[in-house]
Amino acid sequence: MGMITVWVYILLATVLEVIVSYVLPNSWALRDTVIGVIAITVAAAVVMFYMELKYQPRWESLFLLTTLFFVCDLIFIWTASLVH
Amino acid sequence: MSVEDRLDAIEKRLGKIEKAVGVRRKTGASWLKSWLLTTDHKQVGILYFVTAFYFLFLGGILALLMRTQLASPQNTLLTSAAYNQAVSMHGLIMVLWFLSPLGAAFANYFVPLQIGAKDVAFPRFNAFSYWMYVFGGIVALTGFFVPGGAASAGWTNYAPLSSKIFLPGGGETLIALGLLMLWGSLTMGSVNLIATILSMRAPGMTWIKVPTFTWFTLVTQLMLLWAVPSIFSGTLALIVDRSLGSLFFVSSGGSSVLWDNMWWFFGHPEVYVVILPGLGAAAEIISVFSGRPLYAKKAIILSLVFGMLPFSFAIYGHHMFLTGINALEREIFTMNTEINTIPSGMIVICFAATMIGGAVKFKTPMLMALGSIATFVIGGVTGVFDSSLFLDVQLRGTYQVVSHFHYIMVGTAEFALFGAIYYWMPRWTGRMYNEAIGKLHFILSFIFFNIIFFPMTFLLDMPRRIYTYAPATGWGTLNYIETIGAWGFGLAQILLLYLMIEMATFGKPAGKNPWGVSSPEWTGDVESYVKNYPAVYSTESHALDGGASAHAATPLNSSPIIISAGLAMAFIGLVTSLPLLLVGIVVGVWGVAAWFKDDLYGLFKVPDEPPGEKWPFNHLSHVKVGVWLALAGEMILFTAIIGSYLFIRENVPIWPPPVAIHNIRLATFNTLLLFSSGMTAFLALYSIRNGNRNGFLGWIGATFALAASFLSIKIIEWFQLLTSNPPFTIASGLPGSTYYFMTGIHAVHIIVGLAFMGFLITKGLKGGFSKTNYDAVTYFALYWAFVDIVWVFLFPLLYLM
Amino acid sequence: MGWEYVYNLYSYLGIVSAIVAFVLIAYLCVRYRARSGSTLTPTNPKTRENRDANWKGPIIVYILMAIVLVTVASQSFATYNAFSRVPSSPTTIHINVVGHQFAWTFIYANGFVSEDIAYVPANSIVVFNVTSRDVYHQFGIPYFRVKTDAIPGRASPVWIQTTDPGNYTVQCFELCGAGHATMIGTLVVEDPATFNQWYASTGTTSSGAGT
Repeated sequence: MGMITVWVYILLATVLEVIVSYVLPNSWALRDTVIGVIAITVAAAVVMFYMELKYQPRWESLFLLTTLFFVCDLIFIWTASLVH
Repeated sequence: MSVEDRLDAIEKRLGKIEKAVGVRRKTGASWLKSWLLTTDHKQVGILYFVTAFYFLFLGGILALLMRTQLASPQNTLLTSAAYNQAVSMHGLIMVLWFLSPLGAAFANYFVPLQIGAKDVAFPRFNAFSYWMYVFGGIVALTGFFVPGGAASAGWTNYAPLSSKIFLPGGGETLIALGLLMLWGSLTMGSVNLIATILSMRAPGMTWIKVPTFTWFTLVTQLMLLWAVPSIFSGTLALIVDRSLGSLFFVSSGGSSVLWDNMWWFFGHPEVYVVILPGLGAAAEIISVFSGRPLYAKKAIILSLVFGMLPFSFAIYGHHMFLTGINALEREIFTMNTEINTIPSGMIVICFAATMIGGAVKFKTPMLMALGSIATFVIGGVTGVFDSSLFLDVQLRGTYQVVSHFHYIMVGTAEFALFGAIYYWMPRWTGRMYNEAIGKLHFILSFIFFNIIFFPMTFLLDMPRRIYTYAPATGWGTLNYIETIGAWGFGLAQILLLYLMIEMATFGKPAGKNPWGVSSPEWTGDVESYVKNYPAVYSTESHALDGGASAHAATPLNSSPIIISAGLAMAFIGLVTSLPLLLVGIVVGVWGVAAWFKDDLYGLFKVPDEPPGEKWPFNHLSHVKVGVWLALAGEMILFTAIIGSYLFIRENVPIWPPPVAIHNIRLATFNTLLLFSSGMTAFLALYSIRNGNRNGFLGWIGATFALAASFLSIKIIEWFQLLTSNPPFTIASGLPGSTYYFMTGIHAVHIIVGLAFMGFLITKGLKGGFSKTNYDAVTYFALYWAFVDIVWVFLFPLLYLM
Repeated sequence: MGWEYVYNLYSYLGIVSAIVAFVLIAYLCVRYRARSGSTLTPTNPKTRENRDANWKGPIIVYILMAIVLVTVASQSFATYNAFSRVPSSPTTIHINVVGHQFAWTFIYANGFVSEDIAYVPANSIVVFNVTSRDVYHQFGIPYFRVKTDAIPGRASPVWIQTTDPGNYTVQCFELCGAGHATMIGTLVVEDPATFNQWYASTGTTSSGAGT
């Protein structure tokens, strides 16, 4: 199971993102959100399987730590963008 | 005397100094090689220490020039251009090339000793950090010799003044290049020290027992790891703006405010980075010279880790109150800044409370530590004024702010670090300083320091960074007084120089533990320290021999200095001369190849670590912890890049749809190739883990092929874009700038991955990997998966949205 | 309420806090100084007492500091909110300010452009809409305690309430290049009658002194 399914999922999800980008109108926030969500699932798949995170000791802490960095950094940059 | 005799005499004298600072030369190595090629944490610490003082001298000269110019109205000592260079370089040199590295000097020398580790986690990277710092400084200083002079846009390098349009000379590019090297140095240093403190503590050295200085260093390094990668990307963007004509900081799409955000997201934590090592040393000094353990250590640590560390990132907007950010943000930043004052206040109170029930000896280290705390109070109070968004409207850009941050930088940080010198240098050299002169140094420094900066608190109307002012403003008197203070302060440091020379050469022998401290860096005995924790004084009489440690010296290695020198030559050559650029690239690549060769043949051997305290990463080696930390740093780098992209998109309402510019089908196919290479990389790891060497080589080969294809197709894409009609280049607009920058950085990571794979294949062909020995493959798989994840986000952002 | 009020509040509380801190430190230094014969030895329990888990002290400090800071911050917000709303009156003068290397250009509502000098009437509200056409500048009128960044590509408003006639300095507070120190303008406050006469005359002339 495992690896091949994940790999196929990653490839298909990528193609799905491209299809969504063509099918949904460019001006829709929904379009960007859908693509973004698909991308996040792909990233999660890579993280959990290619980085073998689920086998690392205390992987939860490492995953949380780096995710926390990532999320907090994004929040700051997003706040910074509220410059209007 | 013949030349040889003279050299022998020099060597002998230097040998004595080396012995004094506990440096054990590798057998047969000359003193020059021993210092230039060292990877030993103690020698690297001493190198940082000595170099920091050169930069203090340079920064101090610039300060005296400025103050003399400002002493009277309409003075003509410096022209406006010269003054702008002086003020910009003074700030950069003092903060980044003096204060931070002085803290790093003590951290390098003492953190491993304090936690009972043999050395830092990555000794070659440690040396590399040092040489990048030195050569980065050289690159920055070269600015003084190019047309247009050195950087002159303030230490903050605000856009668009920092752009080629307004500062066409090479100095601003050189400072950006020098800073880039420094950011690299700091990031490597933080990964190194954090991994050391997390994973290389001796048995029994649980977190609460870790000495305070190491704790403060840990928080400092965590701040750096989070802050520096983001300014790294900003600096790189500035360099690309200046050399390739991109538009990051010169377009009207919120550009200059983007730099503001990127700079201060780093800049605010940086000021805590500057004071925390000194405060950590002050904590130990106050404890030792009062005879009482530190008061409320747990509260201090929790405040630092859960208060100061996250909050220092949540308050950077207070430097941007007048930039037109919306009102809610301004209120949040004000509140957060004032909340962040609380841990600082707590530190002052707890340090003071340590003295309760003690017997305080007012030796010079103690005086310096107390002076540091006292100025921290004043600096903190003036800072609260600036944090008030209402008052800041008047105070921003005036000398009140200059007063505030000098009270913190010079008062808190520098005095505390001076205290650390008096406290710890006898440990290095085994000799004591003259106490009376030490006290005189403190008194003179303290008095003159206040003479310089206290009057500035009242100059609410005087703008910063002006090279002169009219007599009618009435600022002349205070400025004149401040200049006298500056000269007094500068001259008083001659006493410090004298005392440091005394401690290195002719001072009275201090014995092995002159202060009688039980901390492991003095006694070398972690077991007693842990058993008797929290005893301040040592019950044992033994102490280490003047600085030598129980283990063999870490091996010499030439790659760090060679790569740094090559990079410096290339960067200077980038601005001045093409041949130099080419020579630099060759030298740099030679250094990297040498590093790889050492790893291929296992030539750089560091003694294995014994099991110790590693919570919370109990089953990970320090190398793996380091790799994860490095990846975290990379993640922050890319978050900053992606965040900047989102910022730009938010501020530029009209953006061409990617499908009109890019070949989406080709890019999608390329993406599928890259993600497949992630799969093959994993399969390679899986193979070698099962002992299947041929499978491993096959899958790594496949990964290499897929990655190389990705890179080739990307180059084809770029070529198609560059030759399209009209050409889509990095300079043709923000879409072009962002596209090439982001895919370019990603491509650099692919190239590094290819080199890594080359190394793995070479080593694999030699049979270097087996079922039980495949760590490098794991690290590669982690790195490669990370490169994939970056593309998971880059692809939709650049091609689909 | 005003800038002086908030500044003085912060000053009093700041000075009091600093004095408290200094007195505390000085008291501790004197009270616990080493006296002959009282040096603590390695085996003395005082040098070995575990004080890591003291919580009462830190909590008290937290509470006290929070009280001080909430006080100053709330006054700061209240004043800020009161002053950030531009009061509108029929006689409000709107002036666009464009900072550039190295002078201030004032553009009146009727299109008249004045370089370096801005004429405004006494006892009026004046709103400046500040931007830049090259690098970052900072538009400040110290007497009126207003300041804002002049950023290329965006405009920020500040307003003042003029009182007595006179000449007031307008200065640049952000390093903007070689001429930063000399980027000084003048705000000339005249009595309303003189101003109105002058302003009416500008409508008939074309662009005016410099651009």
